[in-house]
Amino acid sequence: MLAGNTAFSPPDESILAEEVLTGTQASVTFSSLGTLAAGYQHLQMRMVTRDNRGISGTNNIRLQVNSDSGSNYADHGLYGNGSSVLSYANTSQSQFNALSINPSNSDTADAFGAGVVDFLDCFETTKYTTIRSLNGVTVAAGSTIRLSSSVWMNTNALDTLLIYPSSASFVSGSRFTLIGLK
Amino acid sequence: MSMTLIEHIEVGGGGAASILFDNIPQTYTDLYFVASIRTNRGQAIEGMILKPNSSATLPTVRYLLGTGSSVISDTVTSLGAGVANGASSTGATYANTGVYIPNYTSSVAKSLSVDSVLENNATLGYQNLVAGLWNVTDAITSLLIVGETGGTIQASSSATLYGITAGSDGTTTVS
Repeated sequence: MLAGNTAFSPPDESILAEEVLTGTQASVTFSSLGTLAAGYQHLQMRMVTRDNRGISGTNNIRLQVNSDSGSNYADHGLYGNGSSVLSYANTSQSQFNALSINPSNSDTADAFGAGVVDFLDCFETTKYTTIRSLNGVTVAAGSTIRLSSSVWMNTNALDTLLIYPSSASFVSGSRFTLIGLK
Repeated sequence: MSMTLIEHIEVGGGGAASILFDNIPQTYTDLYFVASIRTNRGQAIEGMILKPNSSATLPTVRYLLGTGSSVISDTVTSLGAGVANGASSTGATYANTGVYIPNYTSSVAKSLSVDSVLENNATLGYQNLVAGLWNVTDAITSLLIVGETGGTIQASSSATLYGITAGSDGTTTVS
């Protein structure tokens, strides 16, 4: 700190980064989180997405942390499909399979899926990172509301988030906002 | 709307019987807290009780709970602060919970909304949605979080309380 200047204190809640796609893109990466989110305890990501698959129906959005593609993730979900409520589990996965959900090119024009994702204590190195996501989409071929979660079984601080659809690419207008919470 | 950090609590090496937010300022519109908790209960899950003002009257909650293979719903008083990992779940794994309490200073009953997840590298895992009502007219001045079976909250568990202030842009109208 320069003499005479007061120390900078970031706001308690702040948008750290935002990516709005202007064309088709296979993935989105937020990197150098330790620097980007310095001073924050938790992260939240809000996403509005759609992909360019040539079929109708929902498609999962996936997440890999710190470029880790080992079998170091487990995930679970609770979801409703308009007629029933179901629960599922996946163990020893190579990514979080259900970060969010979205429609594709063959679904209702301009319809996007939405997700709000919370990462708590994601820079602490004494515990694994558990991720919570409330996400959903409304399309003729299978509307879904879901509470999904994953644990990344590594005590390293989060540094990189790689977000990608389980098939195809995100389309223009997809938006990813990263928020820091003190 | 703006969100202001009120207090962040991290449980130290000896663990703790509970987490307490005390002397909550009465200057915000709503409260929101997040919690990352693991207890030493000898099962995968521990329900977390929320005690506003340390009251003997607990919030009554209707919950929806996915277990990894089935879904159940019931009405209880033990999930006002969601779920926490227990000792038989994957080590170093802590639950992730968000609790929203609107109009906490009002003189009517208080509603609460919870979404909470408990991860585990096994089929058994929990996703928990809760709607609750604390049917007491006192303003909330403290929040006590405690395990339903009394399990000790483990080191590195944390909880963060925020105050949410309603805003006005001078343009948007509500009628």
